[in-house]
Amino acid sequence: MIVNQEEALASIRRERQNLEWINKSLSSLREKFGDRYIAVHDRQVIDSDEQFERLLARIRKLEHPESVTIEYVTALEYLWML
Amino acid sequence: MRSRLVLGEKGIEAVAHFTCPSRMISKALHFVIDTGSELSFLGWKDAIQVGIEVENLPTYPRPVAGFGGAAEAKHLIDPCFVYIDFDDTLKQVELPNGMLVYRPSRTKTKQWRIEESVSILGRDFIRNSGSRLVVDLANNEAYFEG
Repeated sequence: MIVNQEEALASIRRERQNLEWINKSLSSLREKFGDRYIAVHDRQVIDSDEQFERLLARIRKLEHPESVTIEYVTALEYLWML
Repeated sequence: MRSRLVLGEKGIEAVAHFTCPSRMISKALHFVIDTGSELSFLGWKDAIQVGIEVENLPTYPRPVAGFGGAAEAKHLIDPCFVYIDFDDTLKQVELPNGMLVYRPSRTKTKQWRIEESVSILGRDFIRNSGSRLVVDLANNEAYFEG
């Protein structure tokens, strides 16, 4: 498999935009989607579900599922550590 | 050249294009940069999303220890590649020994809890990238340089 540079760069940019938008919008996302998985495309929540597999099954039916970022939004604001 | 990292709730994150050619996997994902982790991990959620049948992977022979206790990890043995954007140029970083897939703890309902799942780029990635990791939290900035 050869990675197409332009396509890979575009996919990184899309994922980064979605991730930065999620980080910036976390407080409002917690209120609306707390303890749910959200599917974000082009900096918009396009779907959500309590179950990851159920959401993923719907996203896979879209025309460009690879451009969707799926993230879990906790209702509580956790202190994270690894 | 620099590759800018994202400062988020879970830590310092790199957005990268992940490929595993032998399994036809190719997708952009975000990874927490973890200098405390010897190896890189795919979170359970990301592994499922890219189409890996996690249950069919062999178990990694060493237990994985963290603050949450020891856990079992699966081993995606195939060589994987992580591509990072350095000023609009892709830099390929090979992970010749593949990635581990972290198995989260079970809930009382015996279903896997995947909500806390995060993917991690560990010291193997940082070493193989040949880049310097620069973290300047006082100025709200983090990046790979090299």
